[in-house]
Amino acid sequence: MLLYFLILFAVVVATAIAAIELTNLIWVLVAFATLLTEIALFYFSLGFPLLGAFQLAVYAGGVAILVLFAILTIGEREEERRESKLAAGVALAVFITALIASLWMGLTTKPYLDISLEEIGKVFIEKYALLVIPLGFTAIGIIYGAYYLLSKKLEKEE
Amino acid sequence: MKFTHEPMFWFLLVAVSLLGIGIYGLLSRKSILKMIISIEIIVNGANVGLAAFATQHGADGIILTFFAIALAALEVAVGLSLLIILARKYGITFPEKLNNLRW
Amino acid sequence: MEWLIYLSVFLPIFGAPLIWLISEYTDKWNSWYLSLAVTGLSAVISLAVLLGVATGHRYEHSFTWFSFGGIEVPFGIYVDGLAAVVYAMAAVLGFLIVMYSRGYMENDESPHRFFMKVTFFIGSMLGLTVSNNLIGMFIFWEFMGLASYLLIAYWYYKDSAADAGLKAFLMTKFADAFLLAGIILLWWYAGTINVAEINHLAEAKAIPLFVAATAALLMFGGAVGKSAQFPLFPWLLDAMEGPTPVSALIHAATMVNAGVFLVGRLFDFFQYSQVLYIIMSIGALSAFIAVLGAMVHREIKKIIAFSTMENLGLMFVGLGAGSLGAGIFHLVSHATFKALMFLAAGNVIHFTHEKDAFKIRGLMKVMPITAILFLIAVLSLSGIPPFSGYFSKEWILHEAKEAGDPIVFALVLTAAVLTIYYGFRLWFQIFTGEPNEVAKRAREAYPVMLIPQFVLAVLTLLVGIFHKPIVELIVEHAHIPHDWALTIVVFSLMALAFILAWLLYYKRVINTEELVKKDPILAVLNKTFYNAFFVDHIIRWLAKNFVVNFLAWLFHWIDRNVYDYIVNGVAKTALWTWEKVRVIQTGDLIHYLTIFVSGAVILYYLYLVIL
Repeated sequence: MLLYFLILFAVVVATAIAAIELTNLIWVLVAFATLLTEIALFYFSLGFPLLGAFQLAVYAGGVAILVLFAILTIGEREEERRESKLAAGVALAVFITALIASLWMGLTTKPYLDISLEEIGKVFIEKYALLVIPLGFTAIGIIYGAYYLLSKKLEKEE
Repeated sequence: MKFTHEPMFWFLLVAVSLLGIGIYGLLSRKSILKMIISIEIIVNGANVGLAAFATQHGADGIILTFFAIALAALEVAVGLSLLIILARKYGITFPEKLNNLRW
Repeated sequence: MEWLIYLSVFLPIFGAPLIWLISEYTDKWNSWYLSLAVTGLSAVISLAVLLGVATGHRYEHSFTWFSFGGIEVPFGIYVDGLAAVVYAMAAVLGFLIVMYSRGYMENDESPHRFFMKVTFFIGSMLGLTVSNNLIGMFIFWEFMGLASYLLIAYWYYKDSAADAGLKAFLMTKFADAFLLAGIILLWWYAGTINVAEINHLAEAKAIPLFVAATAALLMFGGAVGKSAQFPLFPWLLDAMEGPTPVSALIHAATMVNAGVFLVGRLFDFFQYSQVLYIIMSIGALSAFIAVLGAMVHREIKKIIAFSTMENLGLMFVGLGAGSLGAGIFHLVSHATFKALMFLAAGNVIHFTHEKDAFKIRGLMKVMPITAILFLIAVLSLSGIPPFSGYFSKEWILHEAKEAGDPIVFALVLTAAVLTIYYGFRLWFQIFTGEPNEVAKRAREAYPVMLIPQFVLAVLTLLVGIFHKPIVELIVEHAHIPHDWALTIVVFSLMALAFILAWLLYYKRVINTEELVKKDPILAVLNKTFYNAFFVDHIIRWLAKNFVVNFLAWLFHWIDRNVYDYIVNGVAKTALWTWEKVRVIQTGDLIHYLTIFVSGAVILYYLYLVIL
């Protein structure tokens, strides 16, 4: 059991690093999409199939395609590499901090809860329904804003 | 296949690793597109952590994760549109060129 | 009944701007009618109150105006005999002088301005007299100072008038600082500012003597300024720049009496505080200086102003010698004859257009009624029976003699005796002899101006005849002494002075101007008395060299070198900090992000450590 988990873990880390380091942007996109799918696998393994499906639909199916369009618009240029030691140092510091924090919190586990779909739906409607509606409007606003930005600016170039 | 017998530490390790990799990607001078991707990696790591804790505390965690995923997707949309404007109109793909916020 | 008293005080005060407004948009002279109505109402109320007090009532009312912290500021009225008499006198005199002003201000373009200010003034004087606590009295005191300034500088386009108004205001304001300090000190220690309570406390010796003496001295300092005693008197002379009704009202009959009234109100307190001797001395000194000044001046109003100062000094002598009745009764009687004298002088000035007494001659043939009224005033001033001046001055002289200090008594005696000299000097000079050109272009005054003077003349006679009931009102169980020995001495000296005046100014045996110019000793004396022993010059010199050159320079230096240094220093520090700090803003996005993330990590560690 742990082995499969570790395999998944390794894949995740590898694709994440690849997404950052590769120079040909198409390969970056492939690594990114793979990463998102792996994460969905993690959600499945935790016992939340709904969440996994949602992750696949939104991220792997949405965000990855968005990034694809962005790459197509910008161009799959090669990029130069520049290193930064400081960044690695800071990232390491963050990693260690978060590790300590999670160690502190994560070593004692209660048995995993089994949350059914109905329960999720019930809690969602009871507690969060009122939040979702304004959130929906915000989402509309944001999308429209992004569209507006793009349409205005790009028109001017023509 | 559910990994329900593993201690939660491993899931948290996943989340923390993604966080670290994402921050590294953000701060080492890559192009703006890669910065946006790094931000997505960070957010995904956070979501994994949230989902891991949701197993302990109930349905609220999952719903929060839903929201987080949705909002992160939206934010990426805006970020990418900004990126496209910058690249098309000003030809900027590296963050060093965005240096107007100085004295 | 109490609310009527409040009405009589606040209707003039708040009605004054209304009077101006109404008259600005309708006929200007409506202000006279309105002012007459308001002051007439106050006068009627005051007479009713006087009757009530005479039959044994007392009117009291008090409420808490506001309170903050542990301090409660009261407000209210307390009308006993003393207050009722002065209140009625002020109201009646105010009404009469408003009536008179119709004639005097006939040529003014904006009389409603005048009547507004006068009405406001009358209201505040009435408020002073009936107020039951020191803060209320102080507020009305300040109102009167304001009204006095507005009225002295009434003809604002004249530099001399504007300067005089400012001088009066500043000098009295300087004294008011002492008054306020005294009030605060007293409030702090006695815990109350109600005048009746303070008097009771003083009688019971419940206030520490040192505190009482200091507070009394400070408050008397305020009275010195307001009542034009030595050394704060030069403003009174310059205040004659204002219209004559103003001089009659403010600087003879009501405002300058405020200082005397204050001492009288708190008389038990002042007696307890052992400062009466100082009060008496200053009063005597002022009276002496004033008499000498009146003897040598030329302008009509300045002579009468010195006369006011002298009589105020006498009032303080009476109070200082320990007799409340003497001081206050002289206040009342002086008000009647001094107002009469000012109004009669106003007749002269208005119809001859001349201020200098020595340019007029023989006016009696042209203005006989004025001459008789003026004569009555001079007789009362000099202390000839049966006018009121005789009774009040004799009483004060007796008290001064009983007080035991020979210097004070000598000063007071000189002042009292020489009064008849300068009084008749003025009267003989203006009214006797053959009319000259200045006199010939005059005419007798209008009835609207003469009626108030008749009333005042009758009043001065009545106050004299009925002096006993009036004094009984002020002070219960008053004992008015009749010292025949003193009276004989005083009358003989006065007779000598009268003969001198008669010779010099009626018979005109010698030309005094030539004499003064030729004889060196007389010239020096003349100059000294004329300038009131150069007190005004000394004050000006002090003001210039000490205040302007030193204090003002000092504050200017502090302002520039200390305050500006601090302010500029703050600015310089800010700029320096900015220079050092702005290096952080490189404009590089990655830098910002790096600092952001590292900061978050560090904060997390701090959070762990602190909690």
